[in-house]
Parts: sequence; C-alpha cells; structure tokens
Amino acid sequence: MNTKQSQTLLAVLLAGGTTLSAQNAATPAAAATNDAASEIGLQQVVETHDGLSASAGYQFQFLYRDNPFYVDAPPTNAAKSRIMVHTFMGAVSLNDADSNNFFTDNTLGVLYQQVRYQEDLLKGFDYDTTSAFYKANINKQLGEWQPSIGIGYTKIKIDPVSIDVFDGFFPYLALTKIYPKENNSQFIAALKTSYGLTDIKGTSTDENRLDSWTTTATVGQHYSINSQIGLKSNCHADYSYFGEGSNSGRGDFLIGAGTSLYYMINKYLVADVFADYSKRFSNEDIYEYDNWDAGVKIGAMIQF
Amino acid sequence: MALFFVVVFPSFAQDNGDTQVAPWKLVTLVEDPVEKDGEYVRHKKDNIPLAPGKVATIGGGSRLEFAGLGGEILRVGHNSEFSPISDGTLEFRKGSFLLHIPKGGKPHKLVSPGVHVDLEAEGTFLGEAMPLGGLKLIPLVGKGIVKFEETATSHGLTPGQVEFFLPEGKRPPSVEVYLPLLVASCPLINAFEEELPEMDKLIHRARIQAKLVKRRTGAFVYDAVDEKNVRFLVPTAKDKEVEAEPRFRIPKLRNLFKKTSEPED
Repeated sequence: MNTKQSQTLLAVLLAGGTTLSAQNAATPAAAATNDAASEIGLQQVVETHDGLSASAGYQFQFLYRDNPFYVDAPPTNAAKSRIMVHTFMGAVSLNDADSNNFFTDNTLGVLYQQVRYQEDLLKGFDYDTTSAFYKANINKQLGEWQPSIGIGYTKIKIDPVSIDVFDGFFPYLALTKIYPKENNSQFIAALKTSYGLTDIKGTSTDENRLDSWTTTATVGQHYSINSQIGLKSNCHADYSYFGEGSNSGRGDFLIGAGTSLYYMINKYLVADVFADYSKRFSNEDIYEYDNWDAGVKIGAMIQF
Repeated sequence: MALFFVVVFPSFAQDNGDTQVAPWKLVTLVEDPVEKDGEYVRHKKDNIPLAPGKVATIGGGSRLEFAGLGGEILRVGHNSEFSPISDGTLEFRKGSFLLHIPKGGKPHKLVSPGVHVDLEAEGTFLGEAMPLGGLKLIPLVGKGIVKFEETATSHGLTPGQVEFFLPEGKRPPSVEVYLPLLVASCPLINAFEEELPEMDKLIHRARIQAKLVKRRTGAFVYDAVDEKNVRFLVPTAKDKEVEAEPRFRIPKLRNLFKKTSEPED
C-alpha cells in the first residue's frame, strides 16, 4: 500500500457513512487533516494471547481407494475399498517472540489416526498410526524462502491383532516460499529433504530396509471463491533413495496431485470433497503403482 | 521537483552553522507517485548535512531519510518539521517519523510540543507529534525504556504497544495494535528503497503477534487527549470491505493476513 492508497483508505473510512465512537472520537475533519497518522500506518486495536497457544482437532474421512495396498498390478475389484479414517490431532506452539533466537515458531504436535477398511475381506488390515512431531523455523530467511527444521516420529500398529509393525524417526530440513495473494489466489512452494530411520518390527534381519533419503518438491494453490468456499490444489514430486539391506540401491520416484473443494461451515467446522492421484516409478518394478483416492471429509478444529 | 526545503527558525536552539559536525545527513528523498498506483520517485542525496538548530520542513508529497553519526536511521514523513537540536536531541514540531537505533546506540531525547522523553533503547520506533500536543510512540522491534521527563518515570517498551506522552505529565493507557496491518500500511517503512536493518525481525514479530491475536477490533487508534481518553476511528459495517484486505506493497507481508481471522466487530 502506498501512501496515497492509505490516505484514500483513511478518507473512505471517514467519509462514506463512517461513525465514530460517541464519547471517544476524533472529528472526521481533524482526522482527515492528520496526515501524520497515515504516515505511520493504520493502527488497528487488537487483543492478544500471551505465550503458549494450543489447538486440537478431529477429522473424519470417508473415501474410496483404488489401490489400497499400493501394488504394481492392476487391483481386482475385491482389493478396492471404501475406507473410513478418523484422525485426532493436537499441537502446542511456543510463540516465542524473541527475535534473537535462532529457532522460532517452535511447535510440538501429536496425531493419532485410525484407518478402517469397509470391505469384509480387508478388515484384517485395519491399522492405527501414532505420530508426533517437532518443527521450528530458522530465524534467517534465504531470500524469500523460509528455512525450517523438524523431526517426526511415526508408529504403525495393525489393529485387529494389536501388533506394532513399524516405527521410524524422520528428521528433515525444509524451505518454504509463500507467494503474495493475487486475485483471491495464493501459491505456496516447498522443498524438503528428510532421512527416515526406520524399524520394521518382528524381523531380526533387514529391519531397517526402509531407511531412505527422501527429497520432495511441492507446489500448492489456495483459491478463495468467497469467505466460506475455496479450492485447495497441490502437486508434488518425491525422490527416495534406499541404502539399507535388501532395498540397497532402490530408487523411487513418486508424483502426485490432488484437489479439494472446501466449505467452512463455521469458525470451527470445515467440510471437503477431495480427489488425489499418485503414481510411483521405481528402478525395481515391483514397487511401482498408481492409485486414486476420492471422498469427503469433515473436520473440527479449536484453538486455545 | 523536490517538495521539501530546509529553513532556519529563529526560535530554535543556537544555530552553529557549518562549524559544528552535523549529527544528521540527508541521504534520500522519496516523493509520492505522480499517478494513481504509480511508483514512488526516489532521489539519492549526497549526505547533505543538517546542522544543529536547523529545521527540515517536509511538504505534503515527500519523505526524507537521514543518517545519524552512530548508524541511526531517521525517516520523516509528510507535513513534518524536524530539527536536530543537538547530536542526541531530536525535535518534532509536527508530523511523523521512524527512528532506528542500532545495537549499542546512544540514548536519544525526543521533543514534541509540550513533551520531552528520553529513549534509552535499541530497535525501530514509529512516532508522531500529535495534533493536540504530545508524542505517540510505537515500538516495532527492539528493547529498552523511555523516560518521561515531566514525571521522572520510566516505562518499558513492547513492540506493537502504542504509548502516549502528553503535556503536563499525562500518560493515557497504552494500546496494542495489529502489527501486520501497521507495517504493511506504513509508508515510512515501505516507501523507501532501502529495507530497514531489522526488517526480518519486524516481520517475525508481526507474524508471532498475528498468531496470538484473539480479536481484531474495528477501532483504529487516532490520538490521545488526556489521561483517560484515547480517541479511535471506528468505521461502520459498510466499510468493512475496505478495511479488511487492503492491497499491500511488500510481498512478504501480504502473507501475514492469512494467519488470522477477519476483523470482528
């Protein structure tokens, strides 16, 4: 906003029907002549929290998955499935305002997800995922890119038999660039590289064969149709290199794209209709696949 | 054409002319765009000295940037009168300013109609000589204290908190304002080609505040008239569209607005 625009804004605020608080108001004439006020910017009064802030949420998804086991052969109809997903999440942000800290925007979060197949033949594969993460921004921008670091932890348990089958730590480095909003549309780009330190449970050998370097490039767009309805779309490309055990030398290239039409029911509730496609190429054919997901989701989020 | 001129007001402190080292040197003149939505017209100046006691009077379409001896940056806005009474004393008869004091910088005395304050701080501050007298001070980044000479009291400074200092020692309550909007709409920050030294910290501070906002009111700070009365501008609902999402010049700052909800009544 240049000065003329801010002056115009002030003038509009003062002219077309602007009212001033009865007891505590400047006269419009006085304000209009106070050029200094617009020179130091618009001073909108706010109320703020102190320190920690927290959020908690729940999301329900009902989706159709074309290839639930991500296999390279075309899935039979029996293998295709409707899936119900329940996700519970919570996060705490420290909101450290000290600009001298090297790490800022420190956030801790947890997530618990239940995946439930809706086909009788597949119910034995229901599983639960427990995740935790820490992320922080590095207090130094690289041009217009914001660097950040983090680490995630994920554990997967097969539900019907309550057996842990996998866990892993995933430290990462990322760069994010948020483009200016233009015409109700905003783009975000991100680069991320992470290393997975994994453990496949129940095996005494080859348990870390899923250890891998993964580097991901993502571009996303958020288009607001109005204040309640919008479209979120993204596409990504990932390359993973595996260096351990029987997977040593394996390289996967995964591409994906998705879109979601959302409706903000109110401040706390949002509903989506979505579709995602992903396809993996690999130097070992058996790891290739393609898959469609499509469905609806409804989520609730509250901030403290 | 440059819309500013430098004149000497006889009522000011002693004019030592060119024999004394000028504490402030003019480095940039910024003129408003000639056309609507045009670009600012920026002129580099060759460190033109402003000697103690002289007054820089800035017209309605211009802003000036001065460099201080200790690495300070002073930007003075439209329709302002600024005079460096001495090395560490700055008088603002009217108008607005932005003052950046680097780490370890010396204290500065700020003088506006009826008010003297000592700013013992480092960081970046916005200020305004209020129309009815007194000084409005808005810390953006940094830390320190301000001593109010009229009452011999000291006050801590918090980024985003508007502080008022009125004649006769009156101190109205401070008010917290929304930093993303303030920064994005402030020509003393945006109109100049050179980015402020602490711009990254300022953006960071604004982002943190945006995350902590419980409520953006519909009121905008105007000035303060006595110890109990701060005056606000309150647009009506029909102006909400104008208020909510003005267009901004700094790309980095545009993103801050998606972090919070729209202003509430």
